[in-house]
Amino acid sequence: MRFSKYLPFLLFLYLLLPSLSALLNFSPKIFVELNKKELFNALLISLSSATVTTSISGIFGIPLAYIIARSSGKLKSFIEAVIISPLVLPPIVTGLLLLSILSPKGFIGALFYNFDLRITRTFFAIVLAQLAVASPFTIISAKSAFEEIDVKLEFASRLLGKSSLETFLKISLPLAKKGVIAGLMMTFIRSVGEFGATFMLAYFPKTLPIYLYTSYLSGGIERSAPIAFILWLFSVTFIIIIRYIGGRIAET
Amino acid sequence: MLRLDKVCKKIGRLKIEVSGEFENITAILGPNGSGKTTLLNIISGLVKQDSGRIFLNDREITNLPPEKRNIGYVFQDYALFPHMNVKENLLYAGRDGTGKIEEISEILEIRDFLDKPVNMLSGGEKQKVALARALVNDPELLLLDEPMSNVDELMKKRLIVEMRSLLKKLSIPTLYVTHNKREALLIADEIAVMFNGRILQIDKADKVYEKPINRSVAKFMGVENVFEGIIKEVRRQIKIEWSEGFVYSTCSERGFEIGERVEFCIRPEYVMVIRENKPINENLVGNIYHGKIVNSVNIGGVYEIIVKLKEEYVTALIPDHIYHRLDLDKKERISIGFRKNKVHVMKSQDFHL
Repeated sequence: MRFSKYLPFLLFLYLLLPSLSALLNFSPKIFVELNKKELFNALLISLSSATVTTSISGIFGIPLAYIIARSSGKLKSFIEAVIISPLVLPPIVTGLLLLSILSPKGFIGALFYNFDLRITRTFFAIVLAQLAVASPFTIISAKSAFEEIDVKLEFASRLLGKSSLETFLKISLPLAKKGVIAGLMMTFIRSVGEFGATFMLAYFPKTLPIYLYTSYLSGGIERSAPIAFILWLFSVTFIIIIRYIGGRIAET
Repeated sequence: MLRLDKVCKKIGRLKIEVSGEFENITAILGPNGSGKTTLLNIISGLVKQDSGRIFLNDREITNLPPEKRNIGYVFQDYALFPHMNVKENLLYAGRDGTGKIEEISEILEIRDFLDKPVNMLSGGEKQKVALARALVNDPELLLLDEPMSNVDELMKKRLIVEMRSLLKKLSIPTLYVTHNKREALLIADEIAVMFNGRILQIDKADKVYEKPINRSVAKFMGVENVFEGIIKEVRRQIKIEWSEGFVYSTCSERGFEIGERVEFCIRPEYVMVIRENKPINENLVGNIYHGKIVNSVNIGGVYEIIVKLKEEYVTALIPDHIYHRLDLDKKERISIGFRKNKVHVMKSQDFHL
């Protein structure tokens, strides 16, 4: 019977396998790869686009999350469904659907094209792709953090003469801090790793995952593994930080 | 002074409808679900009324946002900001440097734990901090929602008495919501009894106690002896026919007509045990009934006995030294009398709550 207790951990071991593989693939070659200008550029683009995406998610997503958290009714569940949809939709489908509107032939893309501006295949397109797939993490995480706050604390603040904006900044936001930060970090790391939607909207300039893909096509596992290792390292570091911050903020 | 002008709000099956003027310390007393807290939320602007108008010191506040109303509110669970310590909670509310925080902390004796995080405080301490926080802005009205519900039972009485003297000193109009009549009597100048969204009676605290307006108020104030009858005579005293014969009242207001169906009540402490071979007090003549004791319990210095007359049951409170002197524990059949000046006649209530 003891055996059956450990059997489920087979799945756990399997989930551990990619990380194990990443460590096994680690070799000094990584530093050679890192010296390549192409990889460095891809890394730069991934980090800068993810930063922009995360900022936009924060500026719009946190207030949006708050408004949703404090509302109710049918409209609320509709809005929530829309926000969750990118998480269920395959990113490549999201990308394709956006492409058909944003490409120079699509109706929004055509508007821009009239002014000699193109959306696709730009840094801006990368951000759009990442926003579509990764911003819901901020909204969802912040929303549930706001929902956990006792509304009476906000009432109390209003009755002490503070406006709704001041109440939001000094009471609601600090109390939801943990969920908001975790959401932003999820958005960031998801943006760094975004492939499907980016692939459709902005094949160029190459982000790290796209660069990984093209390296694999041209040079196989041997050339792409070091890039995979870098992406793996990023993700693991972030998960550790999220868990650490989560725990520490919860204590105070 | 707070003035409510036909303030209405419907929540599910409950319809709140309140008018009235409130100054001094008013206890809003009523059972759970009677709309007391919702009334506070409407006055403070946290819940929007369906109709009606609200005035605070002749300033209309009906449609002002909560932060513009200048009202202090102590919530049932105090709603202290958990990410701030006691002092920061007070500073958040008040302008530092005016000395008000110092002054209030001194009076409420919370200076010793100003640096404590709020989750380290006891129920009584939290309540004091919440009260201090509500007062540092010099509000024109103070709302208290069941402020004693999270306070240790032994501390309650002292805290209520202290709170009353503080509020009197600051002379701030206060609404104190509670479902506990003892709390209401201890804190309030006036009691407003609320049932099903309506204030049935608002009067000086002792008057609500002695002269409830109808059966609901009487029962809620602990008057168990409420009976029905028909007015037979209205002269210097009112004569009522009821199932046990006649009863006389000398204390009721006028306005009753002969033949009118009424209800009357007598507080259990004014039901007297009649001693044999002793002259009957003039105040009891005509109000004497015979019955048997069906139950008696010592509820702490006082015996609560239930006497069955021909049809009705009457509750009486007898101090235990009298109970024993009269050997009531050995007796079954006794005579009781209602003091005429304590038989209170009320308009008949069509609905029963």
